[in-house]
Amino acid sequence: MKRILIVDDQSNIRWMIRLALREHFAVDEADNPQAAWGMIKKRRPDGIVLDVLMPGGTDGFQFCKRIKGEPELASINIVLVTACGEDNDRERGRLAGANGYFVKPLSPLALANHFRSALKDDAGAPGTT
Amino acid sequence: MNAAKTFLSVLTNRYLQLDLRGKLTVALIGGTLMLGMVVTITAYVAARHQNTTQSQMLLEARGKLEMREIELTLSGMVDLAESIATNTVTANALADSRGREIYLTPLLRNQKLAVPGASLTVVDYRGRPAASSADPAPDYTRDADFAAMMASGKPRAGILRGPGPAALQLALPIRYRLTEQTEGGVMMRIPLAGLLAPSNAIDGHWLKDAGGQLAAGEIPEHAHFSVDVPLSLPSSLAGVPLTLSVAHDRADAMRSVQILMGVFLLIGVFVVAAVVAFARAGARFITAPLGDIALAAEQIAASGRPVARLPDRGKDEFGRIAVAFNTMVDRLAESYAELENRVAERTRDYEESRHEAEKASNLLREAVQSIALGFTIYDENDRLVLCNDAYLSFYEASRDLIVPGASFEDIVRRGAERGQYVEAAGRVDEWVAQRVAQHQGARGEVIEQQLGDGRWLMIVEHRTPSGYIVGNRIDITELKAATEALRQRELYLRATLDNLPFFFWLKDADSRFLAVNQVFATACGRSGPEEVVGLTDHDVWPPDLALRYRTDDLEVMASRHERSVEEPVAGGADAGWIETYKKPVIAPDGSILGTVGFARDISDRRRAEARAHEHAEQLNAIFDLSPDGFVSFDGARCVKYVSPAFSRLTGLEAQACIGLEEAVFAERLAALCIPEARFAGVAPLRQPRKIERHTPGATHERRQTIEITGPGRRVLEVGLRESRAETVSQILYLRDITHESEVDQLKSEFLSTAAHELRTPMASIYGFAELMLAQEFEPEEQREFLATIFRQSELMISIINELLDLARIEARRGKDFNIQRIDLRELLREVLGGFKSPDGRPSPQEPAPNGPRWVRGDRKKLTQAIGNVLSNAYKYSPAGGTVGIDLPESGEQLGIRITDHGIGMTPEQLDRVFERFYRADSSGKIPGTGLGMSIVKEIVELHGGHIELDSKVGAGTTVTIWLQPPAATPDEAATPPTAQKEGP
Repeated sequence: MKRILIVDDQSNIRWMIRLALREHFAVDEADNPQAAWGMIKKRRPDGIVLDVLMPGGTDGFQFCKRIKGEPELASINIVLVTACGEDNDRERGRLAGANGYFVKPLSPLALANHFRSALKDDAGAPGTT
Repeated sequence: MNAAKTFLSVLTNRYLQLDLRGKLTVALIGGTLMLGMVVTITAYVAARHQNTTQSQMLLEARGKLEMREIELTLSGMVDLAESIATNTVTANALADSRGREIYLTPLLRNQKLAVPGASLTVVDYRGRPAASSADPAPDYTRDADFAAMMASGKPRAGILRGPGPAALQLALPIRYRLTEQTEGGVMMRIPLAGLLAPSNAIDGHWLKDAGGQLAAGEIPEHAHFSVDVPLSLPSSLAGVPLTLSVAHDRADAMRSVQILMGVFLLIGVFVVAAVVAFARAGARFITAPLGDIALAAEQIAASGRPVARLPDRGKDEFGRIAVAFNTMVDRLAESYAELENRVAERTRDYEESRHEAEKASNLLREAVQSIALGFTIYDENDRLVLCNDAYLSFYEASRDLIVPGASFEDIVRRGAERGQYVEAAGRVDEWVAQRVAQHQGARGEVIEQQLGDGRWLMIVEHRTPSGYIVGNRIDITELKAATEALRQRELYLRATLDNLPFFFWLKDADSRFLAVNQVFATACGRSGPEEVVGLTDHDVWPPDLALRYRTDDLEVMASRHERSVEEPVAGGADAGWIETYKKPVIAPDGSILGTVGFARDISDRRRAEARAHEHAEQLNAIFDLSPDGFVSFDGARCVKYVSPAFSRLTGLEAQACIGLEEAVFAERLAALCIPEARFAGVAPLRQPRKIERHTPGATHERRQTIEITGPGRRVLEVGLRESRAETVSQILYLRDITHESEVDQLKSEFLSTAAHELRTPMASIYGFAELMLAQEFEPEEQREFLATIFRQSELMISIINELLDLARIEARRGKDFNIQRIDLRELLREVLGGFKSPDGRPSPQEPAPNGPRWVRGDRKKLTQAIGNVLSNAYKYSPAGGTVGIDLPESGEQLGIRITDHGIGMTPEQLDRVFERFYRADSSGKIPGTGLGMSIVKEIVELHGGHIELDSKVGAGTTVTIWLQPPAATPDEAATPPTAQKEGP
């Protein structure tokens, strides 16, 4: 079963996304970037749901770029979730190497669908969106 | 015969007609030619004879030579044939057939016969060939010579004339020695043509037989020299006598003679030419002196005077004749010259006297003609004696009437009838009578007469002592025209001066008026300029003015420079102003003739200038006071004026800018700007925006927004107004929009943040609702979802409410506040009464009761503010602890202080407390909108109060709201609080 990490400082949102994903994926949660980094190293998830606006000085774009910059982690399918829907934010997401960009309020089912199609059983290769 | 006679007579006649030189020439040439012909004919005959003899001898020599050659050939061949015939072996071989083959055949075959075509054959007794040099061997069985030889047993020879060429045939008997019987023969056949050797030197040769018949060769066609030579042949051929003939072509033989003749002829022609030339020269030499004599004689005869002389010819007869002739001519010439001298003297005397007379006559005529005046002389009977061309040219129309002898009256009358005189038109008789009387009076009076063609004449007539009338006429048309033009010009000048709106005058050096215009005269109280001319200032002006004017005149004349002054008119500045201009009149020699001047009323101009000055003052005041900056540029687009506001906005001082060119100024301004909002120069402002040009009615000006970093960050809007005035080409104006742009930016940021804050609760509501719709959940879970949705909806509602609150407060800026005197203590009691502390938390500690604390304020708004602070105090002390309230005082200000013992804040967090949507807790554990403290701040500040914050991480936070007391006037204190209600 593919593994997905949810990084968000709001527990409501983490819970909601977990509910949507739990049927098809093993789900981990982290409420800050430091915890998330440790989890990524330890568990090697196949996908990450990453909130762009987080406490602790690191924003989601930088975090995403950092993950994609590590060769052994670059294949992880990363979806950015944010309340910022401006065009230039989307562009930043694309430049950071994100595989998906969802603006709040987001549809948890659409998110689940994204991962299901991107992380099909045969897909050892990086997912595409 | 007759023809020859006629020809001879013609020749004779022509000869006789020739001159002496011709005759001599013909005689000399004729004699020489005849002599030449005799010599030539004799030479020709001799040469021909010599040549013929020589040719004959040559031929004979050649014939003998050839004869010898033929004889030698034939005897050789006959010897050969005889040797074969007499050889015993031949006879034997003839009998033996083998012998023939072995001996005879090779012998004969190998014979080389000297004559080509010749054959040698051995035959048997019947003439059959046994062996032969020829192949096939000829057959002799029927041969006559053979038969004769066999019959006689002796050699036999003959000429064989067959169908082929003639041949010499020889038959020799072959005998057996034992029997002496003739057993056969040797037959030799020699073609005669082969004997004749080819020859190129001789034109022909041939052989003849005894009968003179041609045997071989051919006889040439043309006449030739020829020689016959008989051949002496060997004995066996003696019966065949042959003669050889050789020939030579006559033309060939005679060629040398012909060449000689040709050379002779050529020389003859040259000789004849030389003879002719010599004869002519000789004849000329002999006849030349005679010709000279003849010519001289002819010349003398023709001119009738001894004009020709003969050249010296030496001592011969001609020389003597010449000397005599010349002497005779000299004598004649001497007498002739004397005669001519006398005639010439007489003629000269005559010519001189005639010339003198003519000169005098011409002088008189020319004198009269050369007078430019029309000149006439009439006699005592009034008839024309003399007139000149000038006179005629005046009266072109009656030129044919003006002839000597015509009467004056006739000329005048008929001229008048032809329209010659303008005055006479329509009254010819009257005018003629008057004119004739005038003419005969001739008293020297001046008469002006206009002619029909428009010209004018001046006529003066006098009577001479001898009773003649002399008339002079001058064309005065131009003079008349010039006088008229002068009069016109004076009129124009007068009209110009009189119509000038100025006072004009011209004075002499004593300040006496020489000319003034109508305006000036009127000002002096006179009806016209002529009344003023000749007067002085003292005559027309009051004494003080007159003195001043005279003083001015003297100064201008002394300085020799013009002068212009503006001065109030008599009666003071209110009555008006005049401008006076005075200039000395300087003659070409430098002396001062007087002064010229004009003056004009400039009251209107002075008033306009005063108004303009006032206007400018106003404008300057406006520019100085305006918060917007202005920069004006002069006609050359250099900075002319800089308003104080401009310096204040940009930090550029006026002194540093004035006089700068547009581009330099723009560069200075641009240097102050940040790169993102740099001043792009004046030019882009000048062009109207093309896109908006079609919009009718509105005047669109281009604007630039620039940002200056100078004395503080300022956002300025720059515009340009172009001017059509001469002194101001354009005005640049700058408006400070720093505040507007900041507000715009804040608004935009606020909207974006608000949207973001609303999206977060919406995410939970939307997400859970979707999950519940899509999936089945346990009832407990469903309940939890709904609770979350409910909580997030609540949060959204409060955000929206608070945003609206904030917006309303900001928009109204306190205008909707219901300001009252409020007792803070009572207000606090109300707040606490309505406040519900979180579950399990103690209520706030109230301050000790201590009399009313009056402040000015809106009860509802203050309740809201205090409520917000209280709520925060509980929310940010999640671990519990008391929340205290007291009412401090500081000077006149009264405060409400709320203290918690919660998580507290760092200084950084403290700085951002009043930012919209800022929340010290970002974990989401403490609910809230982040707008509460913003609202508190707005409310308090609109009340004229302020907020004091004090916080320490982990120790808690203290918030003090300071408010203003009500104005402590007795009136206000007495007024019931509700009476102060204002606004809705």
